[in-house]
Amino acid sequence: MLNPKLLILALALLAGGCMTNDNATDLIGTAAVAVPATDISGNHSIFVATTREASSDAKVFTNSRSSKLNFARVNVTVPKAHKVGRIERKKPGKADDPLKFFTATDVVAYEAQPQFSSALSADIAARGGRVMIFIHGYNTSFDSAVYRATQIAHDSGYPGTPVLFSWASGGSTKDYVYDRESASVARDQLEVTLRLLAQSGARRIDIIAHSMGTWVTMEALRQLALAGDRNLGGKLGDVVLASPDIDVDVFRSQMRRYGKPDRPFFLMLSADDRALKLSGILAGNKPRVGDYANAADLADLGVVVVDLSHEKGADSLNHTKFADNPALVRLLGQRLREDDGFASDREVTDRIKLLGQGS
Amino acid sequence: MRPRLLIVVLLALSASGCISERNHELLAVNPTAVPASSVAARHDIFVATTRQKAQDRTVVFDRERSDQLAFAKVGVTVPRNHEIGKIERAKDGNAGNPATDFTATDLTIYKSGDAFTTAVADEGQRVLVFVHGYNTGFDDGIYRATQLAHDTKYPGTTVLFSWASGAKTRDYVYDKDSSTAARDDLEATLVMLARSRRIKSIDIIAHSMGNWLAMEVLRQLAIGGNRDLGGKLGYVVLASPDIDVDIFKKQMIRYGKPDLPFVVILSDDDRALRFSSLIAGKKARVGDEASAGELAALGVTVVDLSAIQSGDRLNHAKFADNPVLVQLLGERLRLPESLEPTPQQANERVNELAGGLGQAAEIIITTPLKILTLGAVR
Repeated sequence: MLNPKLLILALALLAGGCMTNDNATDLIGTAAVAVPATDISGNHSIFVATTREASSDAKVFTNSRSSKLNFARVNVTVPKAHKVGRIERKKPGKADDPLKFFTATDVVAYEAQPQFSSALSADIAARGGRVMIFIHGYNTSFDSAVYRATQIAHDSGYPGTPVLFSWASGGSTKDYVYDRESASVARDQLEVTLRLLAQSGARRIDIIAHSMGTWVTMEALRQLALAGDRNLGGKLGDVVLASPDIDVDVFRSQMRRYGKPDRPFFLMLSADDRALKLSGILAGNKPRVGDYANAADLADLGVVVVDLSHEKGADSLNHTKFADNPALVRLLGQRLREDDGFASDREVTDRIKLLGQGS
Repeated sequence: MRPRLLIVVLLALSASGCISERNHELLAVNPTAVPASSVAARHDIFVATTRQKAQDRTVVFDRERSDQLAFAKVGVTVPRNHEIGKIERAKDGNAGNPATDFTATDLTIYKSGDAFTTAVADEGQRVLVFVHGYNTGFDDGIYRATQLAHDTKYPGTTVLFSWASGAKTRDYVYDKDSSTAARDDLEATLVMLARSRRIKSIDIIAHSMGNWLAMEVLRQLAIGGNRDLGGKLGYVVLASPDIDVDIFKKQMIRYGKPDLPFVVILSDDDRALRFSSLIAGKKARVGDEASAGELAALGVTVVDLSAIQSGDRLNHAKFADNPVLVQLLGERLRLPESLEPTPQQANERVNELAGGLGQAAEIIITTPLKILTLGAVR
């Protein structure tokens, strides 16, 4: 017999009422618009390592898988009118307006890894030796990933070099299984990227992963552990796993294999995460880590569980609270900024936890 | 894949007769007493499983995942009237007539991995680890392992690695997660067996989604520096691998070229894999990939069974349910690794077996070095 819940899910997807279709749109506008520097609130250089196929048009990278790792850098401006937690995006087909919208102003594609590495090393050195790598989730096209990475870097006030690892998500809600496979294909390349960051003069590498990106991240960390390099030669900083779309049993097995981290991973989850409810139904009514009720059970594995159930999210799915809730993204930034030395910073950690408790 | 297609697939799966929901009772409660002459053979199937113990004792292990590996041995009889390639099963699970059906007659539970390994090593030097596929109950895995052991005349001990498949077609994602959660357990099982001084060689046969699990484990063994189990890894047979082609290539690259090429058995008309690739956004699965040459370059030997009949409508288990193939597989497994038959010998043998069964058989084999076509052209 057909599982009625699956049918409901399928119908929900079909109706599309609850999910927006994030088909890849152009990242680069048609004409560069010159605006005075005072009219934008930030200009960020996002370094990109991606398993997506390069595109000849303004999308820059497509939703197809590339057999090799590609490298780029994208400059994005954040408008003066930006509200913390939001990504102000122009409507498709409309002209760029850096006064109002996030705008990708230019892209540098690196021919090969050495060119990327030298540009990266220079940036890392100029910014004090810190790198934050962001791994996006399911249903995310390249442009959306770049904007999210920019928003996190901007709103968190991260002082180091922002890097985006973009795996070949199909950028569409209907591509759930395709996305899972693409994420798995990208494991070795994420490992390569992390090692590359460690060799680019970074003294500390922070990881922020979202949704299905947490699967790629946990896999890469697990295989680093298997190879005997679990903390990237002591350079691994904070690992933030936001709304992990990983089966709880799979996550447990990954953490057991990784071993207790030296500094606990942050696990941000929310009981009202509707996106993960859907994945859970698809996975035979088994909970995903990001909507798992038994936080204590996970904490035993060496993670700090931050329960965001009482916090508001900006999207109706409650799947991106870590970045789109203004207070949270600021606190996250504070955590990352203040905990610069390797001394533990109890205060900020405790406040993140308190926030999770709804106080 | 389009949402509309997802519904169509789901409806098709639920409507089609190929999905029968069994109760999965395995152990015969009161087996009919039959004369020994009506039983063809009795096989001991050793089991390492990540399934939870079932409430119903006769089911033994159910669809739920356990945190701990469990170890067991199941004795199964094969009826005298058994036809090669078939699994003769009672309609309602545990009727237990050994004269007509595969019958699980007894069960041993081992308290520890050590006790299990000792028991396996007591049987002999050679071990076959079978990793079942998607949509497979504990009972299904036991019967398939028995049929494989029986029809291939495997000259060693059969170990079934049984991961927590939900045993329902709709559990595709659940099964994927279950198999993934079982990786370290399969690795532990292989390493444990390989550590026994008395066990000299370990062959692996994986089917369908079990290939994802097996390849993941070989990959992590390689990352950990133990890719061939201390020299004890024997034949690796990957039948109808339900793995995304891009993932498989990455796994093989990470593993490195095997010393003895892995054998990938695939078929163009594999309907089960068509479904998986539909679910996965129309990306090809390995077992369905036409480009044998590309795969062979990674150090595998591709055996293409497209031109061969299968016992099931899905064409997803030809390696085991086609009488010619399962016997050929057995002959290959029984042969020492160094004694590869010449193409002429192989060709003659295929024709002999196929002729004896009145079947047409054509098998295309692509090795890293050459392409062979064996058997009669229809």
